[in-house]
Amino acid sequence: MTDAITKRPRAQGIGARVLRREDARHLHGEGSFVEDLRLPGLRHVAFVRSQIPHGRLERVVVPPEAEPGCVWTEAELAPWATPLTATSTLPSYRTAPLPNLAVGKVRYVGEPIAVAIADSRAEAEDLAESLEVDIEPLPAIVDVAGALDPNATLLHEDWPDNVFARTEGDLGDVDAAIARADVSLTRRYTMNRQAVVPLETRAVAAHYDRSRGQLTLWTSTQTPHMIHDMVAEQLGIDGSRLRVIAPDVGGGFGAKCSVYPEEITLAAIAMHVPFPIVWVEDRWEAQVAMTQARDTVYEITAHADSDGRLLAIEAEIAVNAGAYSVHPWTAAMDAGMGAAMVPGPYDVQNYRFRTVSYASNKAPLGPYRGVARPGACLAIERTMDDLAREVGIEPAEIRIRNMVGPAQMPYTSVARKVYDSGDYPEAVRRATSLIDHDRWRLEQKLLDPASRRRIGIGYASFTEQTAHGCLEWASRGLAITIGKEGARLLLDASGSFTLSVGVKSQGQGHETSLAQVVSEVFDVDVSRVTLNAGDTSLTPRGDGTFASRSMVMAGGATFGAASALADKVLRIAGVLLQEDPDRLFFHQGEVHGPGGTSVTLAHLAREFLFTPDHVPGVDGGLEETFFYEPTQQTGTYTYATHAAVVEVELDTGQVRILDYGVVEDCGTVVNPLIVDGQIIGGVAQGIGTALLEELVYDEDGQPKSTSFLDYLLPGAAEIPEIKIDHMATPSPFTTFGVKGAGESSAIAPPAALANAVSDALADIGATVNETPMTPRRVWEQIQAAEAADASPSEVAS
Amino acid sequence: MDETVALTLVVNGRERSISVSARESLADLLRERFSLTGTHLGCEQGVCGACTVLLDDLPVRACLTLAASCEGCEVVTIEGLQGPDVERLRGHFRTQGGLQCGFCTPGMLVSAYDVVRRRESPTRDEICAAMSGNICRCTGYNGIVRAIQLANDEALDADNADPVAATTHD
Amino acid sequence: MKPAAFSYHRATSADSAVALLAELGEDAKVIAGGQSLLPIMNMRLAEPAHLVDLAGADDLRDWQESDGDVTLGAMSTHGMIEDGLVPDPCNGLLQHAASGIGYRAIRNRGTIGGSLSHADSSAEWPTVLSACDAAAVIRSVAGTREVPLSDFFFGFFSTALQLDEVLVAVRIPRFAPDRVWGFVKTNRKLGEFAESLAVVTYRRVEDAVVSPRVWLGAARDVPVRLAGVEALLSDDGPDAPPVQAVRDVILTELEQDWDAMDPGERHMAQLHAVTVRNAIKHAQEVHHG
Repeated sequence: MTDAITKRPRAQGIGARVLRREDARHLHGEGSFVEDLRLPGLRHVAFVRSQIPHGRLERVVVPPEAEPGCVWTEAELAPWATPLTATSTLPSYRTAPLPNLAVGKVRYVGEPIAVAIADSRAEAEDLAESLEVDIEPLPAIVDVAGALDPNATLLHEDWPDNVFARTEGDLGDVDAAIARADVSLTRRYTMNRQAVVPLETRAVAAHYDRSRGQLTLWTSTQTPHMIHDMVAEQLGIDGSRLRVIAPDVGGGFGAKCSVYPEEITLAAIAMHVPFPIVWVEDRWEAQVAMTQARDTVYEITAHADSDGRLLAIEAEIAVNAGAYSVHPWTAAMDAGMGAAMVPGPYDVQNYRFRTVSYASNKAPLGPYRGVARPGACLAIERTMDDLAREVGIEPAEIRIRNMVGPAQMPYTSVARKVYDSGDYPEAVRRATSLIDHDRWRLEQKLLDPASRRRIGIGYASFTEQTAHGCLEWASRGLAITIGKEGARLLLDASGSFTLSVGVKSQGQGHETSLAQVVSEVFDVDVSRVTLNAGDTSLTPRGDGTFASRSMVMAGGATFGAASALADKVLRIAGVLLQEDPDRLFFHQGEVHGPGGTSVTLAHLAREFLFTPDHVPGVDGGLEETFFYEPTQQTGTYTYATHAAVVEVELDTGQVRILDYGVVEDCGTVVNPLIVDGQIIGGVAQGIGTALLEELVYDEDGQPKSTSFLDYLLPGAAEIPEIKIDHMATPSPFTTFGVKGAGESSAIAPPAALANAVSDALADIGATVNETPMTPRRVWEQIQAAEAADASPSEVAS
Repeated sequence: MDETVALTLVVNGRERSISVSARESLADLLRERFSLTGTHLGCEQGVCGACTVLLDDLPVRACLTLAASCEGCEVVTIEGLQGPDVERLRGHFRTQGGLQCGFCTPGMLVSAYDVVRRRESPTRDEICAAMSGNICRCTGYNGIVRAIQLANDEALDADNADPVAATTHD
Repeated sequence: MKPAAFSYHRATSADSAVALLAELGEDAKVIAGGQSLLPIMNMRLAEPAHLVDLAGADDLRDWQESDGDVTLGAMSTHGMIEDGLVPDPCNGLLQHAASGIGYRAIRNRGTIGGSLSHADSSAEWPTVLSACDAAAVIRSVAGTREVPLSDFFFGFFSTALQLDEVLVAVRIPRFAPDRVWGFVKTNRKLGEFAESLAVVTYRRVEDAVVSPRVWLGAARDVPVRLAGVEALLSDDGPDAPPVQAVRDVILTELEQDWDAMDPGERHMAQLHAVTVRNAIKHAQEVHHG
């Protein structure tokens, strides 16, 4: 980087706590979400969805008085749209198409069967209700036992069983390690199914402009370009005829980055009706049909020596992937990631794993903040605590003993991930001070054993792969290898910048943070940088915002474009100021020369664009496009240690959080206000996973948690003030040393809280290894332990 | 065809006379007929709070209020929410990270305004309880609660500094 | 999630409401605050052909006071009760119970009459007002009658109200000055419906418990009076017995067998016992306070 860019401090550059530009409109109710779209003649869509978890779709009867073109089943849709089949390069992977509208069978409650269109949503629901749907029920598969039963009904009848994929690995020399071990513990951990619940549900609008032959699709998505490519493909139309727009998106968290059948369906229908159409998902639909999350069982066996040093780990992972595989992640991604994350931040090179991703009559599994990592973290971190107890050391100490140390960086894990930088043990040490570990140990000692409350401390550490590249996605078996992002930066005659990127914020503040990258280069106020994102006609092709990648990828691309443009601007300034460009620098919206000469960016741009002959020797155009990827394809590793202090009421099993701290390192921080927001928001979701949220299905496959009356989300009273301590070890692989920060803090809370609860109940001999840790589950463990009067090491799960 | 009901009400200070469908909610009236799309629908069950507006000066769920029930009522939505308390809240929401995606924000501000205008001295727990009816999925609430505390303190200080103005506050 | 179509009828008073109901017949429902009815209608679990809206019936927001009782109009909102805008004849119990109903925005619309008519045993008013020996004041075109709440609830969403009747008010006897109360609601998160709800009231005469009332909500499809716990208090005084003792009494009262219950059922029984016990302790705090 040249002196012009790096030498002088920037008021609104990297690291500045700039207030967010996007806030103004939302604080005044002037956000623009898909459901706020107003188009002349817009009509509303209601879906007919299966109320049966598994069955043969015998027939759909459309009332004869229904307006022509206003009811669509698969029969009407098939000529215009093909179902998308997610594929994988994993050898064992089985494919099945994801129907746009059901045909032949239905495989989960909520599966779309037909489309009804009317002037209002209420009337569309009336029309939908008037259709007669005949489904012959089949036995429903709800869990791993049911799915793998040799006599199980098959969801996909051309498969030999209900398994999407199996994987396994045997790394290092596990058996030799087992032979040397002084301690071996086997534990089983269940993380139950949950919903993602962005507050804004999905919404899709579509309009076919016949005069221009252009189809516009508005959709609340994290990945507009991906939707664009796949909708064009499934409709068999040229991509140039399709424009996808994601306006303001009210949260995504991974539930809005898969290609949904509703997107394909609405796009196809719009091309064959003379009016625009919109579908706004209601909350029932969201609870049953949006991609769902977690639903994993991990069985871990950890082998260690008498000092608690890990010698080997064995893992068996079962993932309930739901009825279908979604593009591009596939039903096998969760298990693959989980297997890779079980070794955690620890220095262990002997590891054996087996995974099975199975099908069931529930909505497809999809990404959710952290994806598989919360489940893997729960499994390894609970095990570490039990190991610590077994060998008689503090849980913080066992982590410090086993962690990859700073001197070992970069460290290639047993799962072949390159942990790039950081001081993992230091994060643990700081976490103990952050929540005042010694004070709580004292409080525990002072508690009367006859008291009906207990206090516990729990830690959970992890390292998280972020902003990984093509090779990493390829290794997961995905059909698409996501790895680059583009940015286009343009300077106009008024001296303002337009930055166009392929990512799409759903609350992460890109309008501000990416503008800060431009400001870092040009030293301009972020208000002079306008971000284009979400519109495929206006932005370079990118993959979108997920996998904690945007600041690294789009930030890197923005910096690349900004640097190239800066070079050009300096050359223009050199001509205008009659100076050597190498001696010029940016300062507060101007280019300055060594002798005190200067020119504003506005004047420079205007001069160059209006009268290019005044600037000979410089090519035309004041814009640059840059595509970026970090130098390391396995990503850059954010890490953290979370610490939780809880109080458990023995009589009810109720868990109350007394304190919660996060020591985290996401490398160089671009905007601390935004990063802190991501951390706290992630912890809140993790607390939801740990204590409250569960999608309950009865044994017949009927969903029971279909409204917020049953599905409990954390509110303000459930989230304590989160303490945060930042470490910042720049990544050696990324621009500015930034690492991803979007997902990480959702990873550890279930493990930290489960460890805290188990610590609280240690004297009773109870542990909790299932989330959410509802009062009922906790109380059952207490009851069982009090009855058995067992010592902790005898309690297996 | 849906049965219609004639309705007259005041919305953000402006009198409106309109024919509504019997089953139309206040939320749909505001969003679809008056293009006041700042009020959002998150659940239509009254739990999430994204649709919270002021009806005759009290926060209510627009999704659980029939438009037809609002004959002669006064509605204030986020688009019409103003005054020193609201501006304090807006300012602090910005500085404290009180919003990310913005979807819950309008309802959140209406409920927060209801807290601040009471001119009480709520503890953190009391603010959390008062705001328990507004779900945010993005922020984890810490910034929202801090923003309300700051706005509340500022409002009390401003009243103490200028008691005459205080008696005429919103 | 939009309701099915219906015909809308706006009542201008209690009398106009019952006249409308008489005229409209079977498939008509009364809507008070709508906070219980509209969620169900939005999900199309209820599809009445006619709604009679009480929003314009100002006379249903009145109250009357006498030496012996307070009669609250059916359209009194939980918020009005919480804020003390209507008299509380129960030494603060009503105000306290009101403040925990759902969320503030719900309380600004939800009504005491609507809550009682809806008859969800995990809501506050059915159990609290049963414990207060309150009576429902019911009107039709034929006239007005009173039904004690102990006889009013038949099951979930099922009450003594006939199709052409409207609950117009609740008559609540005044607590004696020495009647204390305890109220505990157990839920997994703030604002949620109760998993257990217990009300304990008694006259505290020195160290003795006189005329106790112990009622439990969210345990059955109707509020349940726990005569066994009342007897415990009368016999042993105001101190809270151990949880197990309370649980045993409740199990007997509800005719449940601990050994035959699955873990989930046992936990519910445990929660009820803890809730009732905490309500007993709360009554002592209220006394000392």
